[in-house]
Amino acid sequence: MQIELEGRPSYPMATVKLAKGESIVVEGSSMLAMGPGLGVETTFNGAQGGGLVEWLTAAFVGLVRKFVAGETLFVNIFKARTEGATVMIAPALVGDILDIELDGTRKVTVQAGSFLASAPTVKQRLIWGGIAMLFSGEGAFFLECSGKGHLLINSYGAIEEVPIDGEYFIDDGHVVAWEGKLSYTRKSAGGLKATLLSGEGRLLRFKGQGKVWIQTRNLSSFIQWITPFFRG
Amino acid sequence: MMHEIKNKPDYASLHVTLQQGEAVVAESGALMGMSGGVKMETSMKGGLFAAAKRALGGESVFLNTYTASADGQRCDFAPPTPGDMLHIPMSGNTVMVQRGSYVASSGTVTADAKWGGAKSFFAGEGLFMLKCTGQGDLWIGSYGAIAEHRVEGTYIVDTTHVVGFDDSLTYTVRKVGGMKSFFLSAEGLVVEFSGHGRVWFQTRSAPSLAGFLNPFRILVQKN
Repeated sequence: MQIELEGRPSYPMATVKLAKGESIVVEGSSMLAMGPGLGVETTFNGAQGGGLVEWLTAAFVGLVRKFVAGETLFVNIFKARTEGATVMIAPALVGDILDIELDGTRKVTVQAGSFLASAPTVKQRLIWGGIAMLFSGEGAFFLECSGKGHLLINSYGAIEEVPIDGEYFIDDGHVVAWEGKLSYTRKSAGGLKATLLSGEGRLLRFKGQGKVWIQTRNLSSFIQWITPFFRG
Repeated sequence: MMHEIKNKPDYASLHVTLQQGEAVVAESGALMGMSGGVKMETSMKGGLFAAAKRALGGESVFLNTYTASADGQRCDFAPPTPGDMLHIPMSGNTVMVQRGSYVASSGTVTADAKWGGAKSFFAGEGLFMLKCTGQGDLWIGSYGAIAEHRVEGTYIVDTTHVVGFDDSLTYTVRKVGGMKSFFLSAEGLVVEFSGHGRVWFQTRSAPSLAGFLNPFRILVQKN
């Protein structure tokens, strides 16, 4: 599998070239063009294993992604019947795509809404972000990705890598993914006054060693900004 | 203090590294992330009256002050708009900034609201300006790219495109043509600057985006 990104960082597209028999799992309605020699199968994300338990888990993940993370319910699996078949994919949002190559030892946790595509050999585990995250408007769920192969994630705005050694606070609307020995808690950065009045009450406190990828724009801030300009 | 604007020009972000005791003030909601050794304090900068005026100016009543309790502490900020950011060094001069464009400041720089005149207010395009003055740094954000023009004489900018300008300029808000062009051309109100100084304007405007998106919004409602 070869992946090429064009048009970064605002309007990127990923061109995925597959060897015969290879396949890629793509977020629903993210395929924008494809060449010949590809078979398409629609399923719940994570149901590729085929077992009943996997299917039920995947269906649950799909429903969660659909109704909580604002993502699509299904993923499409594109499988190459011929050598070098290509599929082009792009996210709905304006913003960057990151191609992360998992080598079997890395474990990357992705905000459920930021998943774009992955090799079928990438395993996903749904993580519940805790009851506090449910009211945050974004990302009550995370996907812990492990295994081997490419993982494509997307952002709203540019993606900035923040190395963490110790303690770092990140607004939950800006978290895209993280990796490493990191634990996180929802923690107010100041006192009660700061929590209520700062407009920054939705911070996650990361602790440990690793890195967090943050997006340089926040969808809810954008909506708040543009809404007053609509008339009627 | 070290600062850098990255990801220019589409989704610019501001990254500040503070030494112990150094501080930066930012608009509510602008924080993306910060080191564990940064203390955040929320206050109505300049008191209740200044805060109330700032609220009228489309900015938040509360501003956050981020102070480093150790060396090498980092803060990351971003505006809500898709677009660029600009750093304006301040050395006791005064810069007027359009509502919603203020992102952060340092040193003794203060941001006070100033009424832009009833005409622009009733046009719904509210030329509310923040009067930024002091010594230190000022960071502003735009929707689209930021263009700078040095006014020598007079210069006209659409109200919705104004991001900021030097206080050395005088300005009036007026219609772009006669009554006919006010109703028939989509151009609404403009700001006419005169004197000597810099004007910054953004290459996109929020009301235009909303106008463009509006029909798609109605379609969604019908479903």
